[in-house]
Amino acid sequence: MYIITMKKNAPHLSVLALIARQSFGAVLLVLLITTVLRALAYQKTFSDALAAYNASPSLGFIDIESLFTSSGGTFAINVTRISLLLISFLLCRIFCERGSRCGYTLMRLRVTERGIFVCHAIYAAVIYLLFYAAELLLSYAVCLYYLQHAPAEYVGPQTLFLAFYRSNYLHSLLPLADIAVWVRNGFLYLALSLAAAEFPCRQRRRHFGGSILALCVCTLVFFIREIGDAFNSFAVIFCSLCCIASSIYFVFFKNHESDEETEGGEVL
Amino acid sequence: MLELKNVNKYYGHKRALSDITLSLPRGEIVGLFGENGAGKTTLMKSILAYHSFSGEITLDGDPITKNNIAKISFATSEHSFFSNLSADAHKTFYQEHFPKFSEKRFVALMDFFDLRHHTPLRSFSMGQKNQFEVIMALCQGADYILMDEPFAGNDVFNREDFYKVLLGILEPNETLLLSTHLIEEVSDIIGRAVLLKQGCIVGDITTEALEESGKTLMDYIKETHRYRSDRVSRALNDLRGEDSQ
Repeated sequence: MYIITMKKNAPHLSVLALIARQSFGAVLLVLLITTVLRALAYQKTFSDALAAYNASPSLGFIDIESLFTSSGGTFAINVTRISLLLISFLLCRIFCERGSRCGYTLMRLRVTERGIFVCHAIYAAVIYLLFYAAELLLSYAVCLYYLQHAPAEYVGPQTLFLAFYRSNYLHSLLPLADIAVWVRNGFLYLALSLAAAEFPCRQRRRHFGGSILALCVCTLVFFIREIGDAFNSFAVIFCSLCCIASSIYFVFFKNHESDEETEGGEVL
Repeated sequence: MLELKNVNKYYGHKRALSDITLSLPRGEIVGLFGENGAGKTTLMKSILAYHSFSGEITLDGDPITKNNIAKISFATSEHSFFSNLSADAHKTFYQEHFPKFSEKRFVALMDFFDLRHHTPLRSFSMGQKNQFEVIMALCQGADYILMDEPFAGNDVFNREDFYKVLLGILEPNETLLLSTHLIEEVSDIIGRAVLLKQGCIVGDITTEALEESGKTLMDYIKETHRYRSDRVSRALNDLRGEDSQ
């Protein structure tokens, strides 16, 4: 399953393959389990609402955006949050030194440590994109399911379009014409990818990579926000920019000679 | 030839290596000895350019960079492999980064130590991990093989077998720098002993010279380190004296 063939003399590709070998299976498993859990939660909420409507139509039927704020929808969004944390954890543990000092081998490769960081960041970007795509596709599938199975009087030609403006969750996920939220999501995405790659670089130097933690908290708390909340967008962009700058500085510009002094001042 | 000229290394204000000058020609098995904290690991890390130092280290006349680092391999008791990967995954990866990787040697040594090819290395015992670490250093196709306490955690039979295999497989152009505390065990396989004390080279002798002098390696090391054979009895006497008071 993990066998990735590559051309000879492609050291960067071999590093990418090594990164994928260490995490891709686990990431797919997390995505699969959490997507199934969320789909089941939405389906149950919809079925319950339909049963209630059929029993007494006068009570009305749940609208599409309420599907995402109902108890089932809240459960699904919490599963998404856990999924993000798990995926970030899986990305961060690649090339961390646990039980062995793989950094010694990384330093002797044909690829520089900065090259390894870039490979790791690209891989993390692909995985976060996969996570985002799974989230978006599931939400879209839930909407399509609603359009097909909801009572006809609750479905119109604008239902889907309006849902992405009325639901804070859907709008945060696919902001349509809201450029500020697109920019916010873009910076958050870039920052998460870089921070996940930076974490093992810091860990190998006995530093703690707090950026990924800060960004995960930022995503969990601030990702779903009121439509038009400009302050939220700017705050998240600011936090993302700080983390991006910190990652780039640590990997590309920081002089790590001073780290040696923290090896305990002990002669080995 | 691996050459170190006036190499100094500081950790903060503490001097870890002091004016080290050393030449390692091809085809030698060199033992690197010294107490804990003498600077053996620091010396190896300096050779591998894992940290900064002052002075000059050259490999066949060139400074050690990404271009020639593949000529040096490293086995350490801290282990430098990827715990989540299997032995075969390591082989595939190393083949890409170390063009002279010897698959034949890899297969032979894996079979000799009866190590599993397809299970992640984290499931190996400590002894097996050490064996695998040494295997990767030997298979990389390096001209200079640095080993830092490679057998820590292996039983004596295992180590004896390994010494025999080592002598059997090393090519005439391969140099082995072996740092260990198992002085008597390796005294028969090394051709030269280098002694470090407090970051300085305090002894450098070939086994021929040792034989001519009629001393054993252990005697030579004790003499060079000015080992006081009565230190244990004096310490015990002191302790007994304290107890009786």
